[in-house]
Amino acid sequence: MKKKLLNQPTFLLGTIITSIMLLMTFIGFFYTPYDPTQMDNSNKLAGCSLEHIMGCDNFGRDIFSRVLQGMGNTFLIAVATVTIGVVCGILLGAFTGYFGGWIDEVIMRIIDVIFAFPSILLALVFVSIFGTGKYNVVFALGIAFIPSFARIVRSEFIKYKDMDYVKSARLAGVSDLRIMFVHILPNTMTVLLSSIMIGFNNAVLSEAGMSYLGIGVQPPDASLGSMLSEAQSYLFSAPNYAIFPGVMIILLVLGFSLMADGLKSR
Amino acid sequence: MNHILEVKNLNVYYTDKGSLFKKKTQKKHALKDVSFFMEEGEILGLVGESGCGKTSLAKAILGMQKEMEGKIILHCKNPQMVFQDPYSSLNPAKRIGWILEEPLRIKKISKEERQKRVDEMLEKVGLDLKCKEHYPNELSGGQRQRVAIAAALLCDTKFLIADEPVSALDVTIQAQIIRLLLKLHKEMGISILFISHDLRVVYQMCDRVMIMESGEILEQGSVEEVYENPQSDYTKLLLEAANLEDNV
Amino acid sequence: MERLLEIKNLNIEFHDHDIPERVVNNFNLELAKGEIVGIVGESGSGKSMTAMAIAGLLRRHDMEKKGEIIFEGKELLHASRSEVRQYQGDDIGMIFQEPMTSLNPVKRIGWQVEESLRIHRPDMSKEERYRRAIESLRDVELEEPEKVYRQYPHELSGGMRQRVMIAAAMICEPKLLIADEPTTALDVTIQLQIVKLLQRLNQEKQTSILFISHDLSLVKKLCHRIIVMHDGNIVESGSTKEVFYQPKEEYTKQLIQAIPKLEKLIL
Repeated sequence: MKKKLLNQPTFLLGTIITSIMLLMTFIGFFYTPYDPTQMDNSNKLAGCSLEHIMGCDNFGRDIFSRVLQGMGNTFLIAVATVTIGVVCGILLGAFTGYFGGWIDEVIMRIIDVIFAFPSILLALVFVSIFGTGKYNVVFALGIAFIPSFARIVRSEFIKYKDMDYVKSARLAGVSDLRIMFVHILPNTMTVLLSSIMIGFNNAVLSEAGMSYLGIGVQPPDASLGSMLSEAQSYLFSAPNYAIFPGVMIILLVLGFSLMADGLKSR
Repeated sequence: MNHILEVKNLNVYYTDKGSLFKKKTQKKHALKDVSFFMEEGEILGLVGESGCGKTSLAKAILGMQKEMEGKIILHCKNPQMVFQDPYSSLNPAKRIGWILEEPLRIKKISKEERQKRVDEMLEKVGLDLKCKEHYPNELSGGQRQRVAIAAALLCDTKFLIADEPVSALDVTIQAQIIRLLLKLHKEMGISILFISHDLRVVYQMCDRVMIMESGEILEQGSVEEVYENPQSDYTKLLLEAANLEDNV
Repeated sequence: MERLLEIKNLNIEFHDHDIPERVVNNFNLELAKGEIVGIVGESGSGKSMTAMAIAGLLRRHDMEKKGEIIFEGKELLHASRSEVRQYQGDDIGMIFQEPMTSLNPVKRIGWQVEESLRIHRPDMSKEERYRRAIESLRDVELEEPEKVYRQYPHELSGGMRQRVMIAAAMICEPKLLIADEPTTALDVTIQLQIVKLLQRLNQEKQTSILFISHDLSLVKKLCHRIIVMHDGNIVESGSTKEVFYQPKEEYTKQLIQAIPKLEKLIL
């Protein structure tokens, strides 16, 4: 008998953290206490108070509102990135793993080349060619994420393609495509799910990193990374400016890590 | 009687790719000049040790073997196979109902008809209808093997290869599965190529038997003939190991 | 006869799930020197767990172990790890079901056979160890023991590997050999050879053997006494003849019935 997932303390804690973060993100799409781009000269770098629970930034904008909006941006970029990586990774991994042969060799060598670059560097090259902006970042990070998923899916498919139940499906006349995506793919889900969560974390961190470098989300839009980068000049005069976005990044990543951990140890 | 399967001078090779240091690849014989036939509606036993080529032969008949010479004539559509290990022959991610419906689904049979035929088949193999809702890991080994047999028979076949279908099961369950196979054989008139290493089970089930060693068929004939008058030393050894003299 | 091993009220319970699971329930056994006792049961009957408990291979946490295992007057079930280790490989040897995985693939056969000498007889010279290893390999009827000594596990067949396992288990001349389904993964003709080998070793060296198997016909060939287990309980025990020819319990009768007989099945 397996332990129920939610009885596992790590998974439970991860779920709680993640659901609170998701809830906040969701609220941020529709409602923020102040307009995140509304400047207010009288409140420049204000500390925490009842009106502004996380204080204000160097333009007097409410940090809590900007964190809510920033989480939304960060979250969307991360989801889009992982989606590109997972979908392309599953397709490539499934075909190369299932069929093997020279197609496998060619595609896997190309993927090895992509894998050899650090994802941030790859994204930098991309952005310098196509320009900055949210969508280019998503695209660039997405491509950088394909290899890791493709490899995982490929190795899973190699493991499963010679299983007896795949043989009997073939004997029953099931087509290769159906065997790949209806028979084998569901079996890879446990492994895939935990790597999706880890991938999501990497995406959040990469987005934060890129925005920090100034090539991600462009001002006046906020993302957690861009807020961190703006906050670094005021690290001592207004520590709350850096602390809150930083804590949010940590919590977002921590929640998903704990969930991935729980899934793996099942 | 008509032949359902004829195999003539079948040779199967596999290439040994050599190790990291030994580069030369060499062809090895998995089956040497194998010839036999199977009559419609008979159970033919195939006995031999692991690595003697039993599985290569099964694969060749099912058209899963790449490097082969010789003739295989099968007078029957979609041959099916029941595997040794019922823990790997059912997709762990799918419910039993889904697994059983799959061969019908790809033939575009309507949902009501599918369910009707699955229910009938479950009854035939002696399983409860409730098990459709279960995943394979919730069933016992014997139940799984019944599901595997049901799935094979739902493909509308007249020819079944049973590759050591009971050797992974507990002894009391083995007898049940053997009886089930015999019953289905009688009711549906399927021909079975029964691969086993247990000469006692082969005696119980089969009409004729082939003894195989390192890719060659040493002898074949009716079960009584082979057991009472074994020709090769290897057959004698097998008979000794099968404990035939002191049955409880 | 001199008593070698005594098990009193052995209970094993798993605690790593939500509900505790009892796998062995009130197991009792007495084993004399030179005796071969067979434990028979289907999968999940607790026979392997019992064997692991005697060999001291059960996990230390997540399970509750009650009762006593007394080997030559010494209680082993609750003894400390270092105390148990003195017996493992020396007075108690064990062979397993899978000859493919029970040998280390990157070490030569000779090294693996000698390992328990290296631990339990640290004073022994290299030459003496080599001599003993060759002798032990010859003892299990391996041809060319000098050649096998230098080979790796993957170069041997399943039957040869199981012989090597027996040689490794027998090298310190243990008083008790625990054989956990030693023939299940082997071909029928090899099974018979291994059983005959165990029989010979038992007669020559007076080693007691605890033979765990699901195959009644093998147990009948080899064992003096039989214990039938089902769902963690002892169903029936007695001499081989008694159990086979006058089974008392329904379950034992079922098991004996299930041995295939040489007659055509008629439905």
